[in-house]
Amino acid sequence: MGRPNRSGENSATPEPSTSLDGSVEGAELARLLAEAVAGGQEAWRRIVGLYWRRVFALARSRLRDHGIAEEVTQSVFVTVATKLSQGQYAECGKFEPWLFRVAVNRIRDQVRASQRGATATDDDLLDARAGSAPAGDGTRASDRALNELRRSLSLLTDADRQVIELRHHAGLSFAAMADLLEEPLGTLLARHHRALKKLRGLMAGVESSVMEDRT
Amino acid sequence: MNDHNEQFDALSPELAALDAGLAQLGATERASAPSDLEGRIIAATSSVVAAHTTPVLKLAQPEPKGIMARLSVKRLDWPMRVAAVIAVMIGGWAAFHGAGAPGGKGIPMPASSSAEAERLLSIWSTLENSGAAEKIKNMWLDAGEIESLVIGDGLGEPDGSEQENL
Repeated sequence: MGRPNRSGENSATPEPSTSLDGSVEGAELARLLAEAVAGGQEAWRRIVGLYWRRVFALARSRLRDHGIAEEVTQSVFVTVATKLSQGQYAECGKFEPWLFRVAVNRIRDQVRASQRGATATDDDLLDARAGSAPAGDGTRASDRALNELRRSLSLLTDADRQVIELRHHAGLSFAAMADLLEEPLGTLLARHHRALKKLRGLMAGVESSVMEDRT
Repeated sequence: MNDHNEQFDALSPELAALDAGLAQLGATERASAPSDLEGRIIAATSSVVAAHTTPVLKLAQPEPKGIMARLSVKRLDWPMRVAAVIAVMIGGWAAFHGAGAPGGKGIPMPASSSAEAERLLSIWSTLENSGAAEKIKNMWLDAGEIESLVIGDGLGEPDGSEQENL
């Protein structure tokens, strides 16, 4: 997946067919929502298909636990389905920010619950450690780079991390993020830019740390 | 959408590369989702969507009369089963509507008209007078399948004055 293109969507490696691929325009989504609210099972399945991987990726990145991320993802869609069927969402072209607001709130609740209990094992940090040996091939090197990126991401503040994860894991446009976070677009763009710079600084630190681990 | 073109055009090559790396990480996380999760989500939510294929009595309607059964259940798969029992109990009417909700948060019995709501209340009163309602409630409670059952006219929350706690 490359950098975001001028259309505002990520120029992506082909995603699984159930992911948002940009083919569902606002009017089509509005039609699906209307059908789902009226009890249309096929429309609801399509809506789930558009968003479930994106919600999962957001939860996975923030919670760092595959199983809990799955539970949270299911929970988000149960909440969305319930709210939709109870008329708690009025279609105004803001479904995506609304859905991800539900997801962000649910993930935040889970983080708080986890902080009250035992600390969850961080799957990815373990992976990062496991992958810190010299790479045997390109794939291994790529995996190691992603793990180092995850590790650096985990060192960001919650606010910086959120804007990165909403953008890159949830795949939201900046306009949708502005709606979700109720911030001016310009502020959000600046936040994202600052978060990238901080992450770049952290990456340099992580790289040094990995080199020290190897020596 | 071009809300951030200037932002990305202004990124330094280093930050642009990092941005691309993050995009790849996001795609990797999305692809790591277990393939059966979508099916599980749909299975967990379909009954919620289906429950509202018919008009449900809304509190704000001009003639808010109907019947509302709210259950606190111990197991997730019980709302639909209990809903089915209630449907049979009130003359099979609600069987056509498949009311249900996950997590034991409540089972609204839809009433598409005031007259229909009156009929439901009438049937329920008959069950109460014959003692059948009490027997059914006790059967559920004794079996440990439900924690409480409140039947009312749908005008308010289960602890509202208009509703009768069995």
